[in-house]
Amino acid sequence: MQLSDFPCAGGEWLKGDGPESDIVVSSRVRLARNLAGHNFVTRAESRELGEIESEVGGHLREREERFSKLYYRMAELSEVERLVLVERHLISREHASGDTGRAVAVSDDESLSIMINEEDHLRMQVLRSGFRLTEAWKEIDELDDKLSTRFQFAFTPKLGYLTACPTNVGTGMRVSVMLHLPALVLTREIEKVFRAVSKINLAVRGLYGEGTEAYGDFYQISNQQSLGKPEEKYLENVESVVPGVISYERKARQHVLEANRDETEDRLWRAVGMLKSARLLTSQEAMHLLSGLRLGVHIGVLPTLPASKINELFLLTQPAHIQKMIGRTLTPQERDRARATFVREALRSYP
Amino acid sequence: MTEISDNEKREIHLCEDCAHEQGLTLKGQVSLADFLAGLMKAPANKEIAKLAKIKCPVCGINYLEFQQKGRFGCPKDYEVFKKLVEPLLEKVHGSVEHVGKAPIAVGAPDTVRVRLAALRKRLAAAVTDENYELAAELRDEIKKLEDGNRAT
Repeated sequence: MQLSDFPCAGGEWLKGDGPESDIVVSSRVRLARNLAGHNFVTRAESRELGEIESEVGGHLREREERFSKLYYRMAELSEVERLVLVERHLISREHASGDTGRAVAVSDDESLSIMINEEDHLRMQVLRSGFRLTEAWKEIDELDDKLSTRFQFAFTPKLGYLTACPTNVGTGMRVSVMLHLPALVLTREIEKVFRAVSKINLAVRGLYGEGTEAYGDFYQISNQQSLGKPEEKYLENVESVVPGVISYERKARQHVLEANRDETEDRLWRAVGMLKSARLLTSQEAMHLLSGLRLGVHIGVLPTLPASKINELFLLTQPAHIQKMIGRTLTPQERDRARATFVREALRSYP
Repeated sequence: MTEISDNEKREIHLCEDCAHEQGLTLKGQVSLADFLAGLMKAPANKEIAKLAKIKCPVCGINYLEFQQKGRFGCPKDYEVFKKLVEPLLEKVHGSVEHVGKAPIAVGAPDTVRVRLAALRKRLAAAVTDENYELAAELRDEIKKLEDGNRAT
């Protein structure tokens, strides 16, 4: 199986559709599950991990039509190929960093992925474009029910699903939304959002989860607790803060237009100018400029460009995707050059 | 980014590789391991010896090893270290009791009926819990499934 199986575009969250998708890039729900009768991953022998991988992976590939095509064992992938999966939000950085028994099953449309032997034996997630948490939850709930008729999960009525880390025990659920908040960053109001959100036991993280920077003004909001409330309640907790953040960002967008129109227009058009003429672009700079392009298009300062196209630019300019596109490992400088060339080409007829 | 050391402020510019290497994180964010370590106070020497003695018969880890890594070795650890874990769960989750879904039995036929049974169980729990909003949602979902079932 080759990574070139992945279409360059595509990928559920890239579509850029769904409710509030100018701000809510994607909605995600993940469940952590472990198989009863086995040690957790960090304490299991490599033979045991291999057995779990072939049992779970085999079942998914043979019995679940949608997982029959995209299945990858980490040990069989190069570093760049693993990072491609990270950049597509199909696996975690943590998962990409190890070999033994680690694999991932991905559904045809990339909306579902199941990491095998990450921190827990199974980490399954649904990723949807836009603000669609309930839909994402229903889908993962159903898959979980189905798998629980096939595999005996480590579960007690008192503590729920048992996980390697006690911060996930109970429901094993993490609900998150990825938000694009460029105007709150511009107006320096973003810290207020952090403070408000952390007060109600939710976490704010960067683009690629725990411990990553918020490049391109993307922020993830997710629940931190998982024990003591039904799944729907955790879903609701995250769901209920999002409208507030959305309207706050919209107000900030309004403000940068009204209070400082000249400056805002100048800033956003300059971003386009840089993207269309730079000869070297680091991925951080590209994300910063693309964030300006995305904002400019959404507030009508810049001519329209389909949301899917903008999202695609964000993804395809990530380091591993650039290397995948060129077809070999590149030094950082070569990457910056290839990235700039790619972006110039992609925006040749824009605006 | 700006770094302040010895009362001296300096700007440093990092490429993405260096930034990644330095493990830079969002302001005010702590890693999970640090977070857990913070919750679990460092035990006194006397206690260390005592904690090291409590060992899981299945995976073989003792409580000290758990404290260092922040990860359990097997499901049995939750039972073996119960007394030590409960205060931790209380702090992290504000609860020590699961309220939520349960697995369907292994070997159960994977049909709409099984899913309906699971949903009905959760509906009953929601009603007991006086969570009427959730109950209404579940009722709708059950109805939808029942209608779909009849149609086929």
